[in-house]
Amino acid sequence: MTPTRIRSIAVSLVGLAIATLVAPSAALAHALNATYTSRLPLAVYLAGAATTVGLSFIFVLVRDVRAERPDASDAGQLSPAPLRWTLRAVGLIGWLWIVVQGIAGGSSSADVSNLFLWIYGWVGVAMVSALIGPVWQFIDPFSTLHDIGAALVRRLGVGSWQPAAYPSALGRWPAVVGFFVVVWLELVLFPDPSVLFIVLVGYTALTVAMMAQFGRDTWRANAEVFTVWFRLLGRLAPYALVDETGRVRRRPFAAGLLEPGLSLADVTIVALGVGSILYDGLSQTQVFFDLFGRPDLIERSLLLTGFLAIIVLAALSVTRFVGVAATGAGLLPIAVGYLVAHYLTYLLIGGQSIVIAISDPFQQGWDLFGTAFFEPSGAWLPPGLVWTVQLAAVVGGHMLGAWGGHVVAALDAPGQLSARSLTLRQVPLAVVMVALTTLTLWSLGQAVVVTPTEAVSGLTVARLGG
Amino acid sequence: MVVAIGALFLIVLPGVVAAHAEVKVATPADGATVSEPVAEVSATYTEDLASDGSSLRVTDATGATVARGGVDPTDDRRMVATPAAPLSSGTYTVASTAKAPDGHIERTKWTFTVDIAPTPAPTPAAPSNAPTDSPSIAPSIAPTPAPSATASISPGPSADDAPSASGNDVLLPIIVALAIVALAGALLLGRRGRTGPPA
Repeated sequence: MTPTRIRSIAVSLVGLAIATLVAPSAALAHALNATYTSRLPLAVYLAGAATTVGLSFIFVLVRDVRAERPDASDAGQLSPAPLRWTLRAVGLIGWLWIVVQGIAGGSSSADVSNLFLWIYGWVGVAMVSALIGPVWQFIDPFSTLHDIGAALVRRLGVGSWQPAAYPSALGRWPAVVGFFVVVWLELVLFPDPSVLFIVLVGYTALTVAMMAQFGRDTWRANAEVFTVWFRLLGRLAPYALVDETGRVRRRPFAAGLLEPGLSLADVTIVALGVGSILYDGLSQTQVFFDLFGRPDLIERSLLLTGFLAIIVLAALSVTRFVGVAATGAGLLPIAVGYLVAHYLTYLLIGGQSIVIAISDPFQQGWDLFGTAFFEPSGAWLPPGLVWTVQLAAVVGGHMLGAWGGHVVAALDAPGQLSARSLTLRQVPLAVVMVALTTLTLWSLGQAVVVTPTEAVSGLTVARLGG
Repeated sequence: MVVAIGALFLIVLPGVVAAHAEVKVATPADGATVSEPVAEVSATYTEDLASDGSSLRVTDATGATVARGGVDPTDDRRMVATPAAPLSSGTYTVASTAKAPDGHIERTKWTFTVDIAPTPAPTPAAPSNAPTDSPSIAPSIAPTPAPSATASISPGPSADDAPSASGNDVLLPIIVALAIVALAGALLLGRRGRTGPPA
């Protein structure tokens, strides 16, 4: 199958998902505007979940879609120099801004550590990496700082040295550990800007030192959490990273799911990503509150660890049936779908506080441009559109995952395998995916139950506060 | 290493809870309509204020600044701004930047209206308009209980009372889903060691 054909299938799938969901959610928005106590969303979400389940199973079992591995031989080309230098400058300025604020101390709505690290970085760069291309390759301030440091050291007359060999047994597992720490910071600790600043400086020191020890590109590709995660997400993107110099090539959206190279550590990270976003949603529901109240730090740590362990265990179990690559190809689009569904409003509303930060860049109580009193607002976001995008993202991600998992399973299967046993091997993956998607749709529905506007703004306030 | 980092945070964490200097009483109050010229705009706060970084700014309806002030030299919990001339009829916005000694900045805005009756006053308005003389309208900028970071679980009261679809109804699918996952996992552990596909 040609890449064009893959693309047309992917596009039609997403289109179908959107078409299925637009009508109910439009009605939903209307009903919600009329009466906020309506319980309609739950029914709609369950209908959406049922549709997803049905479509994905039909897809996997009835239409035995196959595809060949996409052609990855294109040497690609570098993006325009101004773009690369702008991205590098943006990353470095962001890093310096956080550090200067951290040294100056204080906290306010002009804080950029939460804004840059969580909203623009963890959420924003992740979305761009998944939907457009490998921007982190150049934004990455750790690499830029390493390069600056290396240039300084050379100027001082210190000769270059041969980096130590990276222990191949480690693989990408250091990034797995790092990913868990980041998720723990995000969902359990809610660090204050002063703590976040210490974390950033510590992580920068560690990263630059390890880059010097093992070589920048080796450390990035295997152990630097953000690079590993954003590159994984980038398997969906239409611009693929070709090599460490940052050359990119065009490819159909999601075709990267079929490219080889996924390891067990990668699948673990994807499972952690899916699990953490899901946990974030679930931990804000009434049911969670009823069950656990307001757990303290230790309890929250245990809850998160336990929940992630279940998801990771489920994913690793599935790899035994259908293979590592197929599991990764199935779960990765789900992660991207959840990411968009769960954090889009966070990005669009919380991201506005850059306007405040510009007027008081060092948290001194200034109002340089008269925008220090700006209040981020989601009033301009039509709730109907938000829910449509969220549902389309979750269901679209699920269906892309069903496609990717199936195609990779078929590609990786031994030649003599019958179509029937091939299908049977995929059942565990389908079950896990359906369970995850149903949970997500349910938790998204829960957040709406209060009122759409309050849910959106309340979420943002809670997150900005946390 | 992870444990060490975690332990570090546990130690650091209690020390970094920021103090929030929030507006307690604004004079004139938020939304108030005052029938006399306002010679002084002030606000009291729930915490001491750092004079460096705290400010009070009053703007008129066109956005022009008509008064600028800071922390009251005699009261660390009060800010005051005195316009060059008492504020005449119009709507005014007060922008308060309150910096607590630990560096936490709270920004608050509120508005009040001055509406002086057109009848000529027999004597000029009293030059000093003590805050206690101003109309006692309950300030709507009452200090709201600051939501803690853990308050991200903010269940709406209406969600509790809704009759249909209680928590247990929706919990069931989760339990079923998790049971399925657990079952799949258990099945798998039984297959341990069998790496090859069924021929």
